[in-house]
Amino acid sequence: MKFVLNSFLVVLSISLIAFFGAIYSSVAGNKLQSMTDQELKGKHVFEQRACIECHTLFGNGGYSGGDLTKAYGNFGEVYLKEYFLQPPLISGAKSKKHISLSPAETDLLIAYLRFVNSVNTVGWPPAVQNKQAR
Amino acid sequence: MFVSQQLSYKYALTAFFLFGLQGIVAVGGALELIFPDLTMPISYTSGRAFHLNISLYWPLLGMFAAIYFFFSRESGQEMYSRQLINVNYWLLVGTVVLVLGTLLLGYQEGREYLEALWPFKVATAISTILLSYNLMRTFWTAPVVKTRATLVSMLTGSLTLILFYVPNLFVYQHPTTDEIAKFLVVHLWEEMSLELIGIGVLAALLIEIGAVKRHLIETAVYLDVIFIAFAGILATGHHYYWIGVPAYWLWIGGIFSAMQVLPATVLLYSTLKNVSVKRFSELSNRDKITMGLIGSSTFYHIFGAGLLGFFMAYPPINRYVHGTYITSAHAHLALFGVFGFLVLALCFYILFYETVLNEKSYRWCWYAIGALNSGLMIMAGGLLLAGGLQCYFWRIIGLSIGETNELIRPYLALRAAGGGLYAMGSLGLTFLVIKSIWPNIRYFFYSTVPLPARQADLVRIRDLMMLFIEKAKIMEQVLRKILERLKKDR
Ligand code: HEC
Ligand code: HEM
Ligand code: HEM
Ligand SMILES: [Fe+2]
Repeated sequence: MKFVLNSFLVVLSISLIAFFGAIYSSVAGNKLQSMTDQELKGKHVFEQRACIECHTLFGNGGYSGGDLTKAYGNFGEVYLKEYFLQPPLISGAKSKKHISLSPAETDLLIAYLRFVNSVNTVGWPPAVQNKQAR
Repeated sequence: MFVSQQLSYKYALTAFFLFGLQGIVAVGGALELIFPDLTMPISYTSGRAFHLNISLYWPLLGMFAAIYFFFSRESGQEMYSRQLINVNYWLLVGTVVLVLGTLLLGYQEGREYLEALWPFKVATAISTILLSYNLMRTFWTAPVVKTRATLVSMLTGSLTLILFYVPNLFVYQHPTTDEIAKFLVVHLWEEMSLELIGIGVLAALLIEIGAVKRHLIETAVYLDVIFIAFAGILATGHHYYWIGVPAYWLWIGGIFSAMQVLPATVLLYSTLKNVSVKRFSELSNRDKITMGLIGSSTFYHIFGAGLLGFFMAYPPINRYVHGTYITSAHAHLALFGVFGFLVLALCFYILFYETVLNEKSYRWCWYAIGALNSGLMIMAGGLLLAGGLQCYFWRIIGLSIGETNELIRPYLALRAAGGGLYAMGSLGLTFLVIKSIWPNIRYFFYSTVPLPARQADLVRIRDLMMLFIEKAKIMEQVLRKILERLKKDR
């Protein structure tokens, strides 16, 4: 049993080292673009308003509102600005509107979405969705 | 029986309570998705944050119960510090109450699964540290062989809980780093730490109720944890495919996720081979329920987590199903199906260790388990259909998300219906457990003196009866042999 225990500990350690090593090499140096002050503030708006509970970012989050990773690229600044300042009704609803943001928040949030749009997600989401820009 | 084991009762009871509570808020959220005009007293964002946090915390609390209970038993002594078990209980439960309360009031940090405010996350980390410290000290002085598989897997599982949680106490600038850190908890806690702990306590339980022999599964447990460590850690890559990291994660995640079938196969094989089902009828009522819950857990382990996860993890498929309700189907089948049922089994076993479940409650427990299983299946079926169509309309045809939502609403309604059934099962089971425990509730929280005499006597009588039945069966065989001999001789 001593041998099996040692094998377990060795496998565990090697896996952990390989895993954290791979993470380190994915983020170390300048692999991740740094964010401007405005983009960072936009991220805080995104967090404060809990957008992630209804929307996904990089595909992770809530599933009811769709993905926002490429929202900036798909919809453009003008459309988004109007969407947040004068939100439409949620599809299928007679009275409930999408949450709205103040003009200041809108600018910050759009800066953040622009930043997210620039992250290289190795071709995700699939192309068809990118074509649907209005 | 050790005092440390009795101290774990309150963890198990609290886990049951939170499990009952979860269903109610969840159904509210599910309804809001099908009736968009509906306004709930709790906003959807707060409700979902509540739901995600409670879904991590109650299985965790239940696992704590099982660890203290079985670690003490398996190491053949009291835990190093009984005081620390109590302190940790109040710390953890206090944290959970505050987390859930603040989330309902709308205070949150805006990161999925980790919505709790920073001080509460620190408290959670401290809880895992206190647990591991207590286990370490107990392990050093244990009068049993140090290589005992159950102890080793519980201990390493608990230690890795700390390792994977602590990175989430820091604040990161880049959203990609946020995602990397988040899945240390969302993936590695579940598919590595809890998996190790789960195997350890499960083996200990099966040994105790006599379903398997220790020497037969010692190697199987080791094989399983080796495979989990080998595949589970790097399989975290299946959450990293599209978050803005280099493309080599597609390979890492894809290959090691495929390997995750190894531990599941070992689990299935050794269960089928070593657990003797023919003795099921000889088990006590409590043990039958426990085995029913464990059976459910094993079923979802293979289909909901293993098989469905396996397909979803293949990068070309994941590209399409990622971020749809298909993920949600897997999340419910795996998190509740595997760990929910396992924790319920463990907590049930622990809570009715010294208390006796009466015949009528026993029958109702089976109905509740039936409702949980069918509710979960309907829920998952609805989510799979909704997710499949969402994928098609939204990802392939290119409809907008609003149009897609309108088209998949019927399937989300099916999900809500399944959720309703599930919620009835969960409320029923929680009610039965709390009702049966209620007469001795003070004992469950405060006391280390034995149960009131009559209760304890009942348990002892039951155990004696079981022993007699077992002996009588052996006697019967012996007598039969003697009779046959006599016949032959004549
Ligand atoms: C309560 C859930 C909820 C919250 C919170 C929420 N959204 Fe939405 N959002 C939706 C839904 C649902 C839609 C789809 C609208 C429809 O039905 O047509 C949507 C649509 C959108 C759209 C249009 C995208 C498209 O594909 O048509 C954008 C952009 C958007 N949301 C951004 C945000 C941002 C930014 C936040 C945070 C400030 C946010 N949303 C918070 C539910 C939500
Ligand atoms: C008991 C074990 C498991 C549990 C508790 C579990 C739990 C979860 C949860 C909660 C999620 C949702 C994460 C989110 O919200 O983003 C998830 C996603 C996922 N799981 Fe599992 N899982 C288990 C086993 C597996 C296995 C064995 C595999 C693969 C072989 C797997 C593959 C996946 C994949 C690929 C996703 C991502 C889905 C997406 O792209 O959105 N899981 N899992
Ligand atoms: C009454 C039963 C339940 C209902 C109705 C329900 C409903 C929901 C809803 C509406 C969501 C949000 C999905 C979205 O973003 O659109 C959700 C997410 C989630 N639930 Fe449940 N839930 C139930 C039980 C459970 C249980 C018992 C667990 C685990 C212990 C669980 C774990 C999760 C997780 C991890 C997520 C987030 C990941 C995801 O959706 O992929 N749920 N649930
Ligand atoms: Fe995972």
